[in-house]
Amino acid sequence: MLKVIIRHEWRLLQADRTAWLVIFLFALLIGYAFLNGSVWARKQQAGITQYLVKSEAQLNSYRQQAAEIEARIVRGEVKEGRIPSAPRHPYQISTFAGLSATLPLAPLAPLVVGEGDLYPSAYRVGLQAETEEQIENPLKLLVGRFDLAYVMLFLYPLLICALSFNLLAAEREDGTLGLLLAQPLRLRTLVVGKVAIRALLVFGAVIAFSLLGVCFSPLRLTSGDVWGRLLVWLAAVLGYGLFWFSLALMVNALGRSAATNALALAACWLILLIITPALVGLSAAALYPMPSRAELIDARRIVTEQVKQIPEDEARARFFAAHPEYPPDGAYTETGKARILFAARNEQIKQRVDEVEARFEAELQRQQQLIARVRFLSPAILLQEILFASGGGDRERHKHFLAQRNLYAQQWDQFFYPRIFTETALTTDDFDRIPRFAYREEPLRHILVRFRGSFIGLWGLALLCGLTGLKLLRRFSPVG
Amino acid sequence: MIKVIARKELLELWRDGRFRWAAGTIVLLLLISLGSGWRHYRRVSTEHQAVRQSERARWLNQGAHHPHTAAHYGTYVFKPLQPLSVVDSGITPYVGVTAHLEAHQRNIFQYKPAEDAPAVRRFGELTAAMTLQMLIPLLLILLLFTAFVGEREQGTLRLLLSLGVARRDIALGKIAGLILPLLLLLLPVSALGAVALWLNSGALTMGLSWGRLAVMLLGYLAYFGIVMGLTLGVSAWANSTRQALVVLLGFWFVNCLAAPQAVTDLAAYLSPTPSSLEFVSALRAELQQQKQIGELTAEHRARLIKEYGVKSADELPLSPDGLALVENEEVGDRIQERHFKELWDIYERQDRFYQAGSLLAPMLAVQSLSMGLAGTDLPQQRHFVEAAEMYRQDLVQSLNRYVVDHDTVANRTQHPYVKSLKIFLADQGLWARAKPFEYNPPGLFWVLRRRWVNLALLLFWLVSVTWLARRAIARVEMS
Repeated sequence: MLKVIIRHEWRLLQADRTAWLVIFLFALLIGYAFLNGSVWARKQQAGITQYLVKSEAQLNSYRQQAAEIEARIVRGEVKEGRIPSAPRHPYQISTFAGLSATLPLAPLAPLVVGEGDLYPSAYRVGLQAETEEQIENPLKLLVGRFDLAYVMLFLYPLLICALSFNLLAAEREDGTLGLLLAQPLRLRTLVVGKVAIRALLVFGAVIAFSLLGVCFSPLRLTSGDVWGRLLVWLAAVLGYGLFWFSLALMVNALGRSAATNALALAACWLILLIITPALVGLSAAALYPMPSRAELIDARRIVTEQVKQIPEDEARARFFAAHPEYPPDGAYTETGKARILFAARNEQIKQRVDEVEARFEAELQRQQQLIARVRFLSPAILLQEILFASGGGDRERHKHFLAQRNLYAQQWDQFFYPRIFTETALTTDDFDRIPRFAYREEPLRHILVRFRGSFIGLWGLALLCGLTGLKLLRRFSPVG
Repeated sequence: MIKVIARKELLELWRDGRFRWAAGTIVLLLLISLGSGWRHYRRVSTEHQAVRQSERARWLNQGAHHPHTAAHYGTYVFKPLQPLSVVDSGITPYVGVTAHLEAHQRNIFQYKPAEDAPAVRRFGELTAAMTLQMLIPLLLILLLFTAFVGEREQGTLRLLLSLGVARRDIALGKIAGLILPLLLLLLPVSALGAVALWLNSGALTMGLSWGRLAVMLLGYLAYFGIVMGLTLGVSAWANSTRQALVVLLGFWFVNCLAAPQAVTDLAAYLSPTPSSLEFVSALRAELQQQKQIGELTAEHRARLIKEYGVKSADELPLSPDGLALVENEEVGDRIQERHFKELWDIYERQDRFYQAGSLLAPMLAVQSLSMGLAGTDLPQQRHFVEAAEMYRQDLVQSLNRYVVDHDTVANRTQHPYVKSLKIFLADQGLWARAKPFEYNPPGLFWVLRRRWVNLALLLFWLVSVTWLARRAIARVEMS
């Protein structure tokens, strides 16, 4: 019987020009979102490549100069000085040719920009450490991006509501519902059939258009677990779609007029997508207000002063104690000793500033814990978390990157410090051994663990609403 | 007659539970957003004030240093918030709160508040502006969309018109019946907000500008007028309530949720923002091509020795190192100025395009106007950033020039860490000569010169919507 219903509904839908118009519009929007995301991703990728090429080129020009000097020393044209000349001086190289820890583009960047346009994407290491701040137009950040994630979060529910706000009302008004139910047909089967064909159509469209978009986007399908991420993405989007179909079913089951159904669904959309997330964000910020960054600046200044008060010998002694690899009686030059003091103080300042920075992280954690508890109030919050995380546009990926950057900064220092303190010339071999940064993407299974709860919650909400809708149908009166 | 209709509408509204719910929710949201905005404003203003003071104290008491060391020590600046930012936080969450003003480098403002916020905030911040720009129009649409088409479907329009009631009076009556309760809801909230702002501003950062507030109110009223006119017009034109609702909800969606993105995207195609890494690599490459300080010092030294006819640099009455610093800073400043000017010009071109986008969606006009008046839009951010940069250049160069005149070999003493070096140390008096950074935000006319397009477009919308609505109402059919 279900098959008959589905086939019949399919014929009706085929004749419904509005339905096709809506789906056509949806396809256009998906295409536009892909175009937008791809343009953004290509531009970012070009920037990253250019940046990496330039910093390598700079280091390489120093290497060439060093090689020339080396050759002249070998040929006996110049004598090796006690203090190496600039292109071979480790301090010079570490300061002016510092390489960067650069975050590659997120695996699904063309699909979801997420917070990728907000956090710095590169940090220069070395003695002139630098954060490369994002410079996206703040107006654009405020307005948000029209990427596939936006289409799925905001527009896809509207498509579903537009196709299913009038499952039963018109049939009841026309009297055909009574006739239908006079046949050996259960109301539930009829409704399930109607929903099923629409769901097939919508999900089919989403999958087909998304895959089509993926083919034309600069997504590197061969790298890592991109396919896995895409699958997670689709599974979450299907769960979200099912939720909206279930909600539509619930609203239809209440037996009001088509116009009332449409209004009710529009109200649900407004509450779930605009009001609830805004209220959740606001209450998290109100309950666990962030310490101000102005305070951080203040703390950093105070800490710097305090550290400078520590007597030179004591500061150096602490540094030697913390780093047994540098013996206190090493062959340090006079300038080298000054640099040890500089490094020692920098390290102590960084330790204390990190403690202050940890407070920001802790407060944000508290906000996120609160959000994690109330996120089930809106499936949109759940979907956003999954899409951002699986696409690589979330804060966690940036934290993962920061941890690797810190390790890289340590590697850099470990390479340069011994040479700087003793002012040993960098050989061309040394140049080739200067550590490079390579970002290791967090494996998908680790990310899955993080949003497991949201994923289950999303599908759970969808099923719960669906079952409630079916239950409500029992009280539905076919003749109004 | 208008009065009778207005009274009937009022009564109907009052009896309608849905209106009470919706209106109650909106007032509640408005109160919550204003309250939290106000709390945030107070906290941030107090903190910035405190840090500004301690920064100044540290600057004055930094002890004996080389002036260029002091230039590297520099200072941090914060943009003072204006009281109306409580209503509209604008781009504030997406611009860095502070920048280190130091020698050689023009730093990008860092620590965007959004970086310290959970991702859920990207759905949109709950501010009074959001309520006024998105939710109240929706309420207006839902309350008015049946005005004509509903009466016609019920058959009451034919009755009304047969009584000789002018179509215009029906429209005005309906609007009057809606405006009264709306004003009853909004006025106490606005008054409460204004009084709270007025009582609490002054002491913290700056006084509330009544001019800005008045223009802002006018802008929002015009915007509500546009939505009401449009709704009545569509209601008169539509064949069925369903059609009217679909058209109006479509308008709301495009106006509030699609147009902002679409217009900013288009603006970015026409005038693309460079990626951050592209920007810094181009800037650094150009800076690196310039003569470095060591090279400049050598040049100046050789030139001065010749000019003064002395044997060694030790005998010079002024410092070649200082001259090198001045020249390096000057060249670097001009290069950085050019790169940053290009960047901000791109932002502003995009912003102007956004303003022009108000032709498609009146929300963009009221949003730009509101941000402008709240002091939280792009042009005012640029104004602040450039004021800070001017201050940085003056500070650094005045210290560098001091080096030129005073850092002679005769004035040098033993370097504290490197025994073989001698260094020039400046005393406290020099630090006090550098004035602290005082920022004066631009006045109302400055803002209006940049935002008059929004006002004009709002007016254009209002006039054309009224004209169209009047035409549609005049032609409304009885059945």
